[in-house]
Amino acid sequence: MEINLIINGVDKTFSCGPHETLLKVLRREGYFSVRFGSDTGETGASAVLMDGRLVNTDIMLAAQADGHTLETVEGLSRGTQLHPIQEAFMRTGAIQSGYATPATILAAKALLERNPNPGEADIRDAIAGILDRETGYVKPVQAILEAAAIMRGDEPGDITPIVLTPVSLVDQDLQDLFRGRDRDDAGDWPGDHGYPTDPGGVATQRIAPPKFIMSSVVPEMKVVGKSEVKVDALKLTKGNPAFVDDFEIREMLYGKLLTSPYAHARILDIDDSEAVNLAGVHAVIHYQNVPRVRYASGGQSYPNPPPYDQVSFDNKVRHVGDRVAAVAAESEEIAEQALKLIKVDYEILPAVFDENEAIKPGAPVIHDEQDLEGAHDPARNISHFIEADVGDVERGFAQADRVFEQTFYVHQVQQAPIEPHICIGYWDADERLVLRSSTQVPFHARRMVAPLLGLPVRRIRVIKPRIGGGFGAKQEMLIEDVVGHLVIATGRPVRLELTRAEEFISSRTRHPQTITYKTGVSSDGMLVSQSMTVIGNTGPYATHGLTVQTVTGLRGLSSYNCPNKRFECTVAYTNIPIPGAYRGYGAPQALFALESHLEDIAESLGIDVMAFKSKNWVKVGDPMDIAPHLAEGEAEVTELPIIRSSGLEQCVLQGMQSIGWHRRNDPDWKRVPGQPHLRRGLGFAMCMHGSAIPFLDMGGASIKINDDGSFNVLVGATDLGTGSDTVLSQIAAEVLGVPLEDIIIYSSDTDMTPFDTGAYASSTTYISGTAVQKAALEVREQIKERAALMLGLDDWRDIRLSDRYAIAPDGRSVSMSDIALHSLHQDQQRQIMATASYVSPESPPPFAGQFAEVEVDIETGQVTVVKLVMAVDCGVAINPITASGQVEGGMTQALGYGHCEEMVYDENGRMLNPQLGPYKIYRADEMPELEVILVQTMEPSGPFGAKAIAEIPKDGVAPALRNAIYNATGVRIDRIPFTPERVWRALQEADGS
Amino acid sequence: MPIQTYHRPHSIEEALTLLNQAGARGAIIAGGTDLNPNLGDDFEAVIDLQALGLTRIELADNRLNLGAMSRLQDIADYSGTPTLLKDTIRYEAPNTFRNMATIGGLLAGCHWESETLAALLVMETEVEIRSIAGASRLSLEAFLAAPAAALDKGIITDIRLSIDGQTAHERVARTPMDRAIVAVCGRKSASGDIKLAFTGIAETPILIETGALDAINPPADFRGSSDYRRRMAINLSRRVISSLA
Repeated sequence: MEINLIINGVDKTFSCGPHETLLKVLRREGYFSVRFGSDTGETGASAVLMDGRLVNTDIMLAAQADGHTLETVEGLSRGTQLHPIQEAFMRTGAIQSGYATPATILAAKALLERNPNPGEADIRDAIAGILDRETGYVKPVQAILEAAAIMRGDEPGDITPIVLTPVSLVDQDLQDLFRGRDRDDAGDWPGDHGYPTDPGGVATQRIAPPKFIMSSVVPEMKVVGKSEVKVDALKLTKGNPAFVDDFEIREMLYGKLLTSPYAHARILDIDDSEAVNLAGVHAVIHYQNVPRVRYASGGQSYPNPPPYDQVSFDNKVRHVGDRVAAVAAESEEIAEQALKLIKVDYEILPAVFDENEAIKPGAPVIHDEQDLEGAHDPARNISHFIEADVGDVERGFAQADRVFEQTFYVHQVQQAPIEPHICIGYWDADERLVLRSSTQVPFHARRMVAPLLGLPVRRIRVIKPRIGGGFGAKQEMLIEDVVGHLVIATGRPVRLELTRAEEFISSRTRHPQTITYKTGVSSDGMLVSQSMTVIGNTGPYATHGLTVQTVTGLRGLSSYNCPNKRFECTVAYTNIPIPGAYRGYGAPQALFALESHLEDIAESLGIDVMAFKSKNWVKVGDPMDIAPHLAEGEAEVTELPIIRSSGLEQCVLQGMQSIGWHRRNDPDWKRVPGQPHLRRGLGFAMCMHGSAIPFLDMGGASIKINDDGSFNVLVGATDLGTGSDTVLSQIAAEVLGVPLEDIIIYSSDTDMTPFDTGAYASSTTYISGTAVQKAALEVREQIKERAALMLGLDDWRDIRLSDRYAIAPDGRSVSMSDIALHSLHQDQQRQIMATASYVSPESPPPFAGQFAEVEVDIETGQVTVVKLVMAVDCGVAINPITASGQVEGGMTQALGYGHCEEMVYDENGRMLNPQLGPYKIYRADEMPELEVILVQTMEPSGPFGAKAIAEIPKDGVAPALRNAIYNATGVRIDRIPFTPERVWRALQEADGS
Repeated sequence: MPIQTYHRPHSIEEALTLLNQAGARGAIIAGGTDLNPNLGDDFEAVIDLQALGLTRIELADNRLNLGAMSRLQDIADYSGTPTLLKDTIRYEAPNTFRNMATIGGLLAGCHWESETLAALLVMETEVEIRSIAGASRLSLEAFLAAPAAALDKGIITDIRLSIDGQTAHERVARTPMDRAIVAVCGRKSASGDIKLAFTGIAETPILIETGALDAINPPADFRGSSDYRRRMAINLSRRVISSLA
């Protein structure tokens, strides 16, 4: 059928099938800003304006739009003239991956046309249909407030960071902070400003620049430390084709996966004859026609940590959602039809889902194949057994005055990037396989996929275009092998994109764990001995199974000083969908248990929790003594790492002020007037993370000068939306004495850019940033040498670069463009360029204080999170606005982890809620107030003093909520998430006892 | 077999004829937000009602009259819409859905967790249905008891609800805007009668007397066991009654 539309003011006629969605037709016609996030309307990434109203195109038939007027972001700007909403999104840092930014901008446009002066609640309601896993909605809301003001004729708001005064209180005041004081005496506390009880309606300033505590030892810089607009913001705000799927190639086939409906089964036979013979089907692949090559799918350095317990297609399935077969066909519809024609003869086997049950005698054996490599004890479903000791814990327990033991359970959640996994593969003109993939690890993916496909690495090129979020789910070689096999089988380009349900059950998730802490303390509140025993659930494949658990041990036993420590971890194979890497990587699990356990110990000892924790937490000069025993992968930490920078105390003091910690023990505050069923509480968790994997993570960077004095920076680092391209560019610009606009960064492409291990382990700023800094320093020397030649100087050492000039000590100068032209064209020609790489012997920890305010309905168990505050020491924030955006988004994901997100299964291991609504991701109109404070320190080993910030926001929300619920109700809950019935039952049990 | 034909009738008569011709393989699209993701291979023809014009929203004699194709967002934006209905529509879905979803489609969907339907139940809503045989009117309560029978080859054209009296609303959910696990809508009419309607305790939103709550056996899901839902129905109804007092 034909449909007639007016799109962006232009009459259009399109042919489409009556069954096709508007999303599909728009993308086919080149409106790439309209993006797939789900086929249920739940992400809102596909939203456009129809007759001025925001609507989801993924759940609308194209035919329904016939005769209507549509607007997409492509129609918003006029040439280089952006719409004020687009400008505001760029200035306020509202764009991270940018995948759903076009939809959010359209939501804003519809709102502002209706209401030029909206309040925050109006804005949050207007964008509530567009899920965001990245920003925590703070900066998009500010962007829309800003845009509204500009459109009304106001001046642009100021994005300069707000500098706060460090808290430096005398002991008595500190005691007040720690122990609380009377409300009447509280005075003018920043945090005491009458908190709204109406969630989602919190007051955000029009522009709320990052709040900062400055360090006096950090020098003033021109580009680093500034809230520069992201280097990729323009293309993202305009919805330019930038993502994997925003790409057209002739003759492309559509791949689809057939996945297992059973949690554990042997495949006795596959009959694919009907599928193969279906018109339009070009390949059907499965265990009978794909070589059996063992591998581990985690995107990690060579050699990948064992076990090698996967093959592309097996004759056994080990979880619902496990791969059975794949099809390539002329259309998605034909591919789906073909899947239904594949006959699979299953022998259903008993399954086990709980990590504690899986390792008991008699449990079903998940890996009984003969060619399994490197698993610890497969007959007992144990993929790894990990031990690490410092001192002697048993002797320590004997010496302790009190010993406490407590067990915690943490559950399975999914990263849920709005852009699902997608890969398009094709043979290029040189008959090399190109994989255009949404991956965090392009170089690992190339190396790992090669043996599976029987191709040498040199015949494979992996291109990572723009990515719509990853959060660890894409730290895998996940679908590239399937696409490669299908390209090889068909000789045609193949596109494979996971559905939202497949993203839940056939990609990767966070590891569930059972964690038992046993802690001995002296009567004066010092830790004497501490053991951490973990049963980790790695699902049926141990990708990241070892390394996530070692990080659990590292993070769970590094934050507090204690002379005797022991980590013991059994990693269990089970039949749940596969856990892997998820932002935080073992630390959120550990810190939920640790920060809850220590809270309870302090309470039992009658010591204020802040006093107890601060007495024991690590400080500058302290060793991280368990780190050498828990090195990741093959790397060995040979030296005892020492804490060289920590702003933790200031973080905690700032956080206490912001949350109004003194109210914690105020009975009047804890009850809500007129609402006798509500109780208020405050909770805290200390957080400590790492910056990259020492001796293992390596980043490379190349920099070359262009004729006009601009620079290409080529990096293998992978910007997932975090802003790393911007941060790396700022580092280069600072060293080279040029503004940010003179840096053209490109990442990443295995043919074009230097190697980088990829975007994980909080490594990009610290590792890749140092590589960029080193390359830039080498280029700077070459520029100075050239300037000396041009100026007739013998010595270039004292020449400095500033404002696009090389300036000699005598005041003479040459411009960067003249230097470029001279070196490239005029005399003793050479390309000024350098390549550098960096691997770090240490992993300096960022620190943070995480605070939460909750209201608990004691009649229903409903927990309403009112406010989250995180004060973070990330060293020097290279870009404060992107850094604070990382914290806001990370806290929001962490809020989901602690409060509501969960993967739920029936007794046969089938996920009951593989949709974003039932799974429950926070929307804009229900968010608590979020506050971020950046506490600057100078990390001597980091580029310009920087440490990492990407993962630490994931670590503390769950324990802070748990401790706040305890503060509100007196009930301790040692299992997440804090869903209403769980909390209500805990309250009932406490009442009963 | 996916959808083969798309129809956009311009009169109710034409729509009814198409619907009867298509039989069980025909699906009606009101807003389409609920139906389109679930069309699958079950339907061959879709009949889109957007051109029928059933979009009036008007107040008359303390009643709100809504054309079945009135969009939820338009109803929420209408100044005469009672607060309870505005609030529950907001809880129904974000505006990306509300801008397409219609009140008629919401009724036909009969979602057990629809707080809007619970609100309509306490507002003594009547549903008008047109079929080849003519027009019929029944209470929303009767409609929800047997929607398939009520809709047999017919189309919802209008609904009417009483807006007088005083209302209250309580809910428990995982997060503030999540689908409620249990919700209670209450209304005290001008005559002083109190009606309570619940979601999350039966297959559809349901009117029930508080005295009967002890005996209910709600369906369970992972967010709430049967026992929990019953207890919440009791706890929340107590609050609603107290605020109506």
